[in-house]
Amino acid sequence: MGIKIALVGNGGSGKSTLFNALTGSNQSLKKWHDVTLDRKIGRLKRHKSARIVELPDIYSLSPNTMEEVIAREYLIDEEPDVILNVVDGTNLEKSLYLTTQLLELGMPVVVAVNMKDIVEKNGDQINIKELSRKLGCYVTEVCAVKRKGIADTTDMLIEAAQSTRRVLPQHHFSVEVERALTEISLLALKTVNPNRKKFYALKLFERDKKITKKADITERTKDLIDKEVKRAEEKLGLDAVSILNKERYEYISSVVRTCYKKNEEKKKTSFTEKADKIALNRWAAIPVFLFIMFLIYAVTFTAGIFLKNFIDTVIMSDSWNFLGMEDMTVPGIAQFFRSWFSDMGSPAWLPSLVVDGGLKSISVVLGFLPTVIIMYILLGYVESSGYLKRIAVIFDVIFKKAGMSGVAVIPFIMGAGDNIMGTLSCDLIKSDRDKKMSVITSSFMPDVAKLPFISMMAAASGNPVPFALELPDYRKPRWKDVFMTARERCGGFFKKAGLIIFLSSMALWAGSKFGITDGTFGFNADMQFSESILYQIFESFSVVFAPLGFGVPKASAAVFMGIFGKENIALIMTESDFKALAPLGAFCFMVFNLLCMPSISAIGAVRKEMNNMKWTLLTFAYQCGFAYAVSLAIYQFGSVFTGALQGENAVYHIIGVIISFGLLFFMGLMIFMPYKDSKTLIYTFPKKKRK
Amino acid sequence: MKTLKDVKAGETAVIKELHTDGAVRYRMMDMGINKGTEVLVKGTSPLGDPVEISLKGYDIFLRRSDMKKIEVE
Repeated sequence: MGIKIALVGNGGSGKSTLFNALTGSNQSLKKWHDVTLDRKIGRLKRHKSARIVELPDIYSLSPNTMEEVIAREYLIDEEPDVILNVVDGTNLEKSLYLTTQLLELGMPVVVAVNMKDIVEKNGDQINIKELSRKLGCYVTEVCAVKRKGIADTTDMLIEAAQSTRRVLPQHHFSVEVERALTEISLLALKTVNPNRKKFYALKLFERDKKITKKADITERTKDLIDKEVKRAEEKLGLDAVSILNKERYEYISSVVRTCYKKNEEKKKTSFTEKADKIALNRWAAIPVFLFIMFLIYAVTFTAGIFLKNFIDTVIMSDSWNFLGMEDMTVPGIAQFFRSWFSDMGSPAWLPSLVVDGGLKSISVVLGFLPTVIIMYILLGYVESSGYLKRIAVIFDVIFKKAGMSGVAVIPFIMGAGDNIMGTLSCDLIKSDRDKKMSVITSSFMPDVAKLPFISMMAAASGNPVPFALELPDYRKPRWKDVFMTARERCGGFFKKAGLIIFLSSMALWAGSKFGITDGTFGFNADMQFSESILYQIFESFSVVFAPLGFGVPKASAAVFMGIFGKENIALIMTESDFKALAPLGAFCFMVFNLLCMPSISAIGAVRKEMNNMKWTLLTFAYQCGFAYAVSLAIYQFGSVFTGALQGENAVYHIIGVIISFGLLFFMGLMIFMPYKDSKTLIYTFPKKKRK
Repeated sequence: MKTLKDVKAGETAVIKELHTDGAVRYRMMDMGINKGTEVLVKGTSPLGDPVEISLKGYDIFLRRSDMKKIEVE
């Protein structure tokens, strides 16, 4: 079996860039169970049998975020042959905090000190040999953006993975702590893999709930361990977690002092400092941001719509002029197929299937693509230049109230142009929790419906960590990296959203072209909608809408057809159909459609960003439920005033009014309930079959 | 109680106690914010919050609401 490598690092350490540099194009995207995060898996370019997995951004192995829970579980459960830890060379002291914890795991670690170019430019010096000796693990220097040091890193990874030398962390804690750790090992960890003993002992010392549960120890042992921990805490005057934190940082300071030499000479201000004087200036920050966003917005939507129309013309029109030249008339692909089929003398359903079904569905998906590609390239450029983190800082104060990252301002702006692009731009948000929130807010949902949902989501999505953001130096992005990221995101759109859009367009075609005409079931290319099977299915739901005042077949069909495009509603519900509904019913019909009409494409976009069908359906169901509740309340309360309580159906109306009161009360509760975050992080790693 | 929020831009302070718990506390510690750490308050972001502080040789932005929970001397 090949070598298994886990790539680990802090946010902003250049982890993804290093991953790209190591693997080239040998990558695939999977996802972590139940969260929006992607799991990137690749094979080393220079050693094809070695597999590398990029774990989410983490700062610690005492997990505070979903990302950290996932990463830690992966490391413990999957036991990679070697851990590749990317470290920001310009920020050594903080980055090494994670390194010390990885070393405690007792697995082979290769530390890749990244940002070599910036370190050198600043005139700082890192003694790699000494660092390696002090840490007791392999250390290499790289510059991921410029693809430097990649070969050395690969060789070192293979060497480390194949080495049989036992890995021992070089740092020791104070006497009191070490004593407690030894006691804990003797009490509870006799059967644990000797390499992992230090890690488990430390976690039991910290009173880590998950590990304690995993270790499966008796109450008596637990009490004995607690006694040891308390003794150490009393002696050192701190709580267990603080003790370990402090002692690790003390050790790191001692390492950094010997291995790192900062250039103390007053150097001229760097480009980053100069640029931030403007980008983060009190008066200039917002105008600069608006200018950049205006450019992105304008280019994305003008070019996107132009190309969309062009694709539509090429595929669906009868004919078009090449480069606008009068004498260069080219038939549209649709027309080409139609005439080809008629020359072949094929049955009527075949051209309809290929052209009205297949080609039409493909052109819907392809129509989105230019806009999506342009947007992802431009936003990816902003992302890798380092400016995105500035946006997070500038807008934090506005978005933190809703529990979101400042980056959420981008989906807001892009969403103004097109809901779907708003949802798709949520890809820029890294944290699972923030991303879910932003997808909801940027989604098709009308604003009134979002508020209660956000407070529900906040309660279900785990606790936020304090905002603690570092600003990376500005960099000129490497186009290759920008394109790679954009390609990955567009691929995700194609696979996840595109599939939904395509399949539902095909279903729409089948449902509206087959039906019962004059008592016989069959295909008709020009089927009347009221005779199609789709209509038969949709109208059977009309009873569901009776409590909302529009329980007639046509209105029911119109509601469902609205999913495939707003214009369908007006096509089905003619003026006379509207008049047939009581005024109150007609009003409720409009309210319902206004609140609840996610298009198939919007659902597809949410599916891509949520990376998960459960969350997508939940979002969808919530919106429909909300629209239903509001329309129900309006119709039922309205009926009271139009005298329905005297009629024969009075009993139903009374029940309806009571239910409406209940629903309104519940919604009010959700909106006005103080914003509260849940205290627990819930993540269950799916049980995997052992090989 | 003097907190990090009260420290003016350009001034340094030493952390005395973290009045936080759970994930907030642990993340602060991961970032190196712990008893005895020396921090320099650099300035605010364009809209006034978060605030840029410098510690252990690097800069980081913290929210005022979190800084209020960090006691300094």
